[in-house]
Amino acid sequence: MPWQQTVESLMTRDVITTPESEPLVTAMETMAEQHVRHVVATDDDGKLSGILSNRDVARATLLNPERKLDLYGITVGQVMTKDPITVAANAPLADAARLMLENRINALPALDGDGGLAGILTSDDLLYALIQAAPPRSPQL
Amino acid sequence: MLSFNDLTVADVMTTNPVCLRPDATLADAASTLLSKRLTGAPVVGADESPLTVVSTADLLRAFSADGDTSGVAKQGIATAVQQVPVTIEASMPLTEACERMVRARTHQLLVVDGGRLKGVLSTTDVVRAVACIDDLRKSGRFKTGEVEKT
Repeated sequence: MPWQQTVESLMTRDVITTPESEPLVTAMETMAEQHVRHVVATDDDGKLSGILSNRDVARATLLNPERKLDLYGITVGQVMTKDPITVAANAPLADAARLMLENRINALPALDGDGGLAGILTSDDLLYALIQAAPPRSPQL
Repeated sequence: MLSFNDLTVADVMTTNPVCLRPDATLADAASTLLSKRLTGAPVVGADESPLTVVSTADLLRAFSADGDTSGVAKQGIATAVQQVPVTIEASMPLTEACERMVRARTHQLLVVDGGRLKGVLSTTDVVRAVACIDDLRKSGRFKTGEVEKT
């Protein structure tokens, strides 16, 4: 895979978003229905404010000392990763891969030149591109 | 009243999970994870004992480390795996498993019984459980073990 290829050549442009004020359970329904592991959270102005991953729902149990998860009382904003690490849409894929590996994350919101949300790039996207560049899988599996 | 907190791992785990064999290549592993939409898969021995877990991050790291992706693809999965698998029992409360998952910074917990792999609990299973619980709560049809999986 050409690592100098840009993020925007591989990212998903139709990003699934959720207001950070939304109940966690609603966002989880969306993630399950859409078969995605990440949704981008937005503030009252519709701007990127965080990212919610399927690991965050597991982390939500730690909010309560008794380890009880209040599905209806918790909002996306309480468990999402605030001010998430982002990547410029015109950055090379090598930069995106490095950000993911160094920060142990699997998705990066991609921003356009004005700082607006342009798309999302996942580790699956990168891996898929890498495999496309590699030879066919071995026949024994 | 139905509650997420009443669930155990057995209620929501994936039984008969997709597994890899120790002699699989990195290309095999990547193809399997992508086609099954998994963040990771257990590697099991001939006796079904879990050896490790291969994740998307493991593969991405391996492919990123070498510009020769064709060469990397042919390597065995042992060259890429860094994870020591975290194992749990099916009877563990789901909330406790979630905590274990977070502390171990992993997306998959391997469910074992007598040293053999019985299932996998992934973060996706947890999300699915939450989503299904809400539907079933509205319909009033829930009982433990009724959470559907696709």
